[in-house]
Amino acid sequence: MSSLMWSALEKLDASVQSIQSQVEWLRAALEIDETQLSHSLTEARHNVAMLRDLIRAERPDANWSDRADLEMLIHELELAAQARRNQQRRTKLLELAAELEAGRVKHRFEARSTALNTLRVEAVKQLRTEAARSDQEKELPGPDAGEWLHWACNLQESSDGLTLTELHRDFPALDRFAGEMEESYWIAGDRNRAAAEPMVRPITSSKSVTPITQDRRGVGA
Amino acid sequence: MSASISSALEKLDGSLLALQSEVDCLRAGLEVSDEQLRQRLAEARQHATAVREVIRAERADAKWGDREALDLLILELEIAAQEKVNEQRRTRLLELASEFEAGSIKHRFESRVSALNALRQEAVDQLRADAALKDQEKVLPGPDAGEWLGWACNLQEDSDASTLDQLQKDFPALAGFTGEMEESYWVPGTRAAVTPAAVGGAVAQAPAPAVAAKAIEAPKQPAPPTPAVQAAKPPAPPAPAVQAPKPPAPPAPAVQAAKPPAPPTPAVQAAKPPAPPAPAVQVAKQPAPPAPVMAKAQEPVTAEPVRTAGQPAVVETPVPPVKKSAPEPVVPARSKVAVATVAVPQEKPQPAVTAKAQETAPVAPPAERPAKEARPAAEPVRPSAPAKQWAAAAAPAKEPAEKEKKTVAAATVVAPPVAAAPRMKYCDKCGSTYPAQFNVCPIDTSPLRFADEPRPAVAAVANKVEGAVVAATAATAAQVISKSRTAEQAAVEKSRESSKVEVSELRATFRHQEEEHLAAGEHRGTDWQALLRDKNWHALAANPVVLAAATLVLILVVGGIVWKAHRSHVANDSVRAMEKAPDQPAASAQPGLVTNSVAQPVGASPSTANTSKPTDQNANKQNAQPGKDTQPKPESENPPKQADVLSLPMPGTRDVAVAKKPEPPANDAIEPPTIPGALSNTSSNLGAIAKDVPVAVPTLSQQKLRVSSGVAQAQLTHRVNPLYPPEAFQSRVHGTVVLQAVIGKDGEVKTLKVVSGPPMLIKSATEAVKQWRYKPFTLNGEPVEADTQVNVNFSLGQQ
Repeated sequence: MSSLMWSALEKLDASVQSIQSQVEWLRAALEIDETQLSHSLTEARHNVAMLRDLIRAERPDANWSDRADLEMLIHELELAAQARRNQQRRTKLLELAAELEAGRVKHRFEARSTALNTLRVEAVKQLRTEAARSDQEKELPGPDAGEWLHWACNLQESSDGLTLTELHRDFPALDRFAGEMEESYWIAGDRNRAAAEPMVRPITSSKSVTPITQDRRGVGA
Repeated sequence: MSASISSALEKLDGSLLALQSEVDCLRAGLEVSDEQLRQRLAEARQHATAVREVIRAERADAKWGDREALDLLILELEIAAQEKVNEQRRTRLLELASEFEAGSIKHRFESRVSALNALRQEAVDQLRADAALKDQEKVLPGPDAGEWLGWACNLQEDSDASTLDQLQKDFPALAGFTGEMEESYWVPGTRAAVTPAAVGGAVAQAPAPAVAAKAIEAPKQPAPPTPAVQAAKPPAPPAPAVQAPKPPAPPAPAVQAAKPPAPPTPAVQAAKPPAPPAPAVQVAKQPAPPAPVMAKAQEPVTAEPVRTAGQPAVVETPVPPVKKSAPEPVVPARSKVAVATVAVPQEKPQPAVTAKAQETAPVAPPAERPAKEARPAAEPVRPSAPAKQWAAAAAPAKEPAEKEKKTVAAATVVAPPVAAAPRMKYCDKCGSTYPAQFNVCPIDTSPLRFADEPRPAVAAVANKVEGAVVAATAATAAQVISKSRTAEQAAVEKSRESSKVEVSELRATFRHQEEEHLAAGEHRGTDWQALLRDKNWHALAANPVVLAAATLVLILVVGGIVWKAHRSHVANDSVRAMEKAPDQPAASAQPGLVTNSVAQPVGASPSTANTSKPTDQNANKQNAQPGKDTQPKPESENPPKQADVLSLPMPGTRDVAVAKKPEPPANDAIEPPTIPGALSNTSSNLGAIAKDVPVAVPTLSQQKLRVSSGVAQAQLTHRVNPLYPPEAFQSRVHGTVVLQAVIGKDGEVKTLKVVSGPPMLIKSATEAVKQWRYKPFTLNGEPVEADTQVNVNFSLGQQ
């Protein structure tokens, strides 16, 4: 939205500048092109209307009297939009973190499950860390939290290379988790309950994680 | 033009201002009325078109690319328009000046003509000085030059007060001239066309400083045309030649102090006197003004044959040896005139009277006799009838004062006829005048000539003094004149021979009359009684005793009146004397009152008239005689030291009378005249009446001199240009700030008073003018304050 307003403002300035040059010619008592002047006037009025609509869309009760007020208003709207945008991003991150935290991974091999859970915990941690930032410069691609893992597990390198690149750049832990996961491994939990409960087990060292083979042999024996 | 451009530009800016506000609303994303926006655009386009049309009307090929170029172009056009206006104003001034120069003034009085001509010249000088200014801020009111004077002479104070005020403020000399002029006096001439080159030359020439300097310095010189200097010559024309800076003026016959009235030479001939005055009147001469230089130039060098007093008047007049500029008449070598004595005024440059006629005083100290009547007691020649009249008028007198009194009477008797009658002839040797019928002087048998004839070589003693100066001037014309010398000599020879008979007849007539008078003298005492008994009033009035008694009574009465007037005059202070001085009638009109008159040009300030007072007073003191000589003396033994002369006022002049204190008339008895028919010697009491009276002269330094702006500008030595206030420049405020300044004696601006001008420019103009410095204005050598007007012009061409 903010870019739209600035864009509309720039267009308005261009059309007004054309009018101003015509006025300067008039001030010098020179002859002017009436057609061009009329066109410039029409365009300027259109841009003004568009800008006003954008502004009113953001703030219906917005009011200004001159150019300075307009610019200040636009700036405020820009800040508000940015904040909103940040909040949306933060919310998405937190929702995904809660989703990942509420669910669990189930593999036939315990070791694999453990490893995948570990990746899951790291991804949640990263998501919460990112969500704690004031400026949400990173935007989590994909859908909402409930469908995100499904979406992530179906990404293909051939067609979604750009998304995978962004995911790998901005959320590496989440990317690793999503890369190891299969949709069938995931058992979704209650996100609300998970959000209320803090994380049960902190991430332990690797020594405590028994390899799958040992578990399999331990269970199977 | 500039007003229309400015107006159109202002309208354009106004419409653009409204349009700009609409554009700003658009820029701010505000709603604007489309209709209103288009309306303002249309207005702006209309005004822009108007500006273009006005500019193209002035300069069809004008081009500009932006607003700055337009502003510069408009400045150029405004400057050009201003220049055109200046040119038009300058042309008007020059045309009027040419009109004045081409025309002439006619008046029944020559003195008035001279005075008006002086004013006319001043007006012309002022017009040309104003035309020479670069900025023509003054606008000459009225119509074109051809009709201007007629318009100006018909201005009324009540209905045209503003025009008169403007004229007085901007062109004071012109206002002074038109104020004195009448439409009937003016004789228009053929005016020279004022060409653009002449207009440009007028600007480049800038004669104002010289004229202004001369105008400022004029008071230093002797008074301007002073016809009253010739107060001793009632019918004579005025003597404007006194004013040296002026162009050649009519000659000053009275200025020719030591000569008989001579014809004007081409150098100074501007107006011929109608008739030469009675030389006897020109006795009391004031110190000659610069004009004598011109007068000297007229007179050729002569060699006066020296005569010794007391010798028999065997007048042998040899041919003057040194005479190159004028033909020398061949005087008969032996024209013996049996006269008793001949009193010879020697070496002194005496007034014309001294050269008038040789008095036949038995005992006359030649060096002390300023004037002597040439009426020998035993004149053998009997003059004819016209000569009798002349001889009767110029009767010999016992004393020089008495003789002069008679001469005055003679002049009074003779002058009117002379003034009104045909031309009179002069004797160059003795200065006597004779009717036109005479060809030879009966006294010295020298040829007579008319006033406008070339003056022969014979001259009075006083010519010696001027001979040296004249010789240089006459040398150039010597060759031409010498050619006619011989012809003239031959003509003179003929006239001499033919007039010998007339001379003899004149002398015989005179001798007979003298004898009759002597014979009748014994019975004079009873004659009047017999006439009284017989009630023969006509004869009684002609009786010399009766005449003497009447004259005495008249003198006593006049003396008493003058005495009273003097007493009241002495009691006044100097200021009242100054106030009354211009208004006092010529006191010289009263017999017995010796005045020292200084004529002023019409319109001159009284202060300038007083400049010559001290000098004149001194001269007057020198001339004045207390007249203590109360003892009756024989006429021939009691010559006064100096003669007092009655001076008659000239019309149109202002006389600053310096009345001499009349003393009580002498108690001397009136002597019976020795020569019958002569006036009594009551004139000896004339000198006893008058005394010097100090007259207060206002201090020149107390006066404030009013100076025109052009004159003041010529005196400017240090000028600071005013700064154009930025806000005024941006607001396009321009105009002229008029300030009334008083310049102190040190040349600094003492006071400044704002007369008019744009308020935004006043401060800058005032601050600049305060720093200006002038050369101190002087009046008679003394620094005085000057009141002038300063115009500071702010033009948008300035930066």
